[in-house]
Amino acid sequence: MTDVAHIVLWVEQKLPEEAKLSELIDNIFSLITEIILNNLSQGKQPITFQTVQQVANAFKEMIYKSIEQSIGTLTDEVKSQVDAEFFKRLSSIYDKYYK
Amino acid sequence: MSISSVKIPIHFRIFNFIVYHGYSEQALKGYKGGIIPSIGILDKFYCPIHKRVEYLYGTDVDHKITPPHIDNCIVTETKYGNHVICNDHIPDMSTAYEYDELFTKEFGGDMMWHEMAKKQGYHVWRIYGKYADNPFVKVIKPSDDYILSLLQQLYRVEA
Repeated sequence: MTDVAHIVLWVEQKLPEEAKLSELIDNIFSLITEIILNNLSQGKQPITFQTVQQVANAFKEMIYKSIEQSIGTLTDEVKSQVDAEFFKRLSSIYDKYYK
Repeated sequence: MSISSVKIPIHFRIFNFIVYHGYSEQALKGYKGGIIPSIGILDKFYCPIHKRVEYLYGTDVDHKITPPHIDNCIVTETKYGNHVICNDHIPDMSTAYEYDELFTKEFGGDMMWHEMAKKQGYHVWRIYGKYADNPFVKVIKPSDDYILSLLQQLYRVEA
């Protein structure tokens, strides 16, 4: 199909009911990091940080929508905490690969 | 409420998400602009109603079609074409693939997409990405089916 194709196999993993949102965010960033590393290790055109931000933001928007639909509301508090989780991981990626 | 107490929301428990990058010439359909990684979902999902793994079916069409009004299907619009994604609560992959083939023929879909999926063991429908200048995929024909209604919440609904 493509150079890198990774799947978040939640169905197979049968995630425990209590699995937390932060695990999902960790998983998303590990997939994005694998794509960055794959391009670097294979000498392909590096993925720009702006691209990484774009994809992370798309996931973040999906998470907002999913929380809102699942819980019935998306409070400013949760939204800002999700923002902070994404910002923390994006900063870490920036420091590691783009600084 | 703190994020440490928020469980993984339902969409991410039902659908299998895939993140991928790198596209064949055929997949880019002549597009020469910038590319970005894509986020997609697989056909295989966990049905919370039947509490089992089931399969979506449909097709990937490289040109614009008139969205069919089939209750248990959604139609999305991509930069160059459409995706048709349907749910009949099918518990086995082979039946879903038969329906995929029928739909791919009926709507003039991409047989390569279908054949590749059979080889890989999964179909992918992109939700976001690939074309840097227009990465959004939008729902142009929604559905009231419970599973599909959850799926379409992840897109831009414009119908």
